[in-house]
Amino acid sequence: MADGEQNPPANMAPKPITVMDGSEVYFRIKPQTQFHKLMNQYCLKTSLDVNSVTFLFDGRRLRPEETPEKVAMEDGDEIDCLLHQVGGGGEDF
Amino acid sequence: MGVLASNRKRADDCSGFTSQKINQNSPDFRVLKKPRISLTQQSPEKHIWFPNGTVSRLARYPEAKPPLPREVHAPCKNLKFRLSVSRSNQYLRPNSSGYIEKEDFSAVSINTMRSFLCRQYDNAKKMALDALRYSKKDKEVIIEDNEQGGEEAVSDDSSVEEVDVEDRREKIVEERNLQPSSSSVVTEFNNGSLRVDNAGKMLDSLSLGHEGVQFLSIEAYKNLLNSAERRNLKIDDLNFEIKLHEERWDALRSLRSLKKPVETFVPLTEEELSEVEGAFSANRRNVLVSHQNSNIDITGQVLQCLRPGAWLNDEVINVYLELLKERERREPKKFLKCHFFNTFFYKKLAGESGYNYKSVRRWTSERKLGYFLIDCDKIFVPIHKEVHWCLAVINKKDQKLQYLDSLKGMDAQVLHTLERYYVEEVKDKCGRDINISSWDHEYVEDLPEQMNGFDCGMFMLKYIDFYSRGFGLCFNQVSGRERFSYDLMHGWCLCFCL
Repeated sequence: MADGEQNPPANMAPKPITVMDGSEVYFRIKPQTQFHKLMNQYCLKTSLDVNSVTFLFDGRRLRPEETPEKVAMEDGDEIDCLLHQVGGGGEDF
Repeated sequence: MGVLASNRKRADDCSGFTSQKINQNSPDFRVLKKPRISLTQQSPEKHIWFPNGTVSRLARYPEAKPPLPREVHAPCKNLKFRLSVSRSNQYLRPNSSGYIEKEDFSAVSINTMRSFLCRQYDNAKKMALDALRYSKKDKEVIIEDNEQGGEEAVSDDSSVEEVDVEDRREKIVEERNLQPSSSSVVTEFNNGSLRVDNAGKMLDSLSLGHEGVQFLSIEAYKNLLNSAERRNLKIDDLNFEIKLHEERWDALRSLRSLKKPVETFVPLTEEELSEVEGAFSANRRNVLVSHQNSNIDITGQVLQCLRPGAWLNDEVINVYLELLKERERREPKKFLKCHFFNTFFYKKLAGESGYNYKSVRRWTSERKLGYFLIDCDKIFVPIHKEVHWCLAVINKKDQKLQYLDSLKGMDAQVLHTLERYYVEEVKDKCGRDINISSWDHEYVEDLPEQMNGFDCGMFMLKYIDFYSRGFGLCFNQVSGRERFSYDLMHGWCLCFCL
């Protein structure tokens, strides 16, 4: 965080998002910007429902109101976008 | 000349044609026709003429032919003699045919004579053959007598030889049969064979040798069969012992697993039930639970998956896994040191692009977790398979990789991937090279099975619950989704199984 404040341009660096299908979408996001902006943008681009996906940063779920600053995101970090999973085990039901 | 001649020929031809046409009405026509008629009439005359010769010949052939093929090719018993008879017929035939017209009586007499002679010949031959047979028998008898009388010394020698051979056999058989009763059987068999030898003295030396071998082989086979049957009995006994031991082992194992105290299922009170019902019917957008550690909000919408018959979603499972970790942190002595990966871990590790350690490398940093994975006794990895929840366990405590599926499925790929991951993870985080290829890959079969088509998520969580306490899977059926929802809403983990 200290580094980020000292070098504001570094925080302006692109924040790439890697999607499950392997296609990479790059986002440039300010450290203080909330993730819901990025999430909506990403879902618009990939035509996904925001409620059907979940965004993970290093395995931890991202809340829409969180910011890169809060989760200690650094330049070049990846956010994973994954579809929600359901399972009951039976094809016969 | 040639030209002239050809001309003349043509002229003749022309005249011929013309003459024919002209002579049709002329008296010369008959003259011309006559020879034609005569020519045509010549052939009938010839037919009349020739018959005397041909008919006589033809008449002779059928008489001569039939007896030969019939007699030769007829299927009769003593063909040899018949053949000779037919030959005699053939030889007689010219004579008979020659004298047919003149001397019928003589032919008849010849025929009778012939048949008489044939009979005589047959009888003579039969007699001769019979005599031969009798003479053979006599000879045999004589030989036997001779043997009985004179060859006793020789036969004694041979019997001694036989006994030697049998002794050898006995030794071999004794070596094979460890049981003492077999030797007595062998001696009996030996006596029997000796008796056979005595009887066999009457036969000539060659036949004796063959028959002796036959008897010996039969006895040996019988003996081997008996020994094999005895071995079968032994095998049966061993099988029975194996079964007995297995059953005892199973019983002991079940006793050991039952030793562990099990939380009993506590049904919800009426108040609690109504609270859960209220949560189910609440506004779907309302956030009912907000889990801080995992950043997951359980809304009314999400909680719907805990209604009876619904499929569990990842958020409910991930929250419960966080609760399990919290429970362990609260009372570390009561539970094994475990790590619970969330439901997305395996999908990320072995995604569509194949195994990728880098994508999950940062998930398990010490800064994040507060511990190293290698220090954990058990690492639980939920596996999501399209519409099904399974569980994989990296069981460091028991040095094995386990796979639990409430529908008894198997996936070797999962365990191989996790084995690879664990080695790479330890090397990355601790800088140590470990080899876990000797670890057993266990597909747990002795587990409570899912009897419906919607509870696999509940079963998976229950497997994790029991394993994280170090218990065996000693529950029968998962029940009480209300209990589970209530626990989830209040942030604790109680038993929701029977």
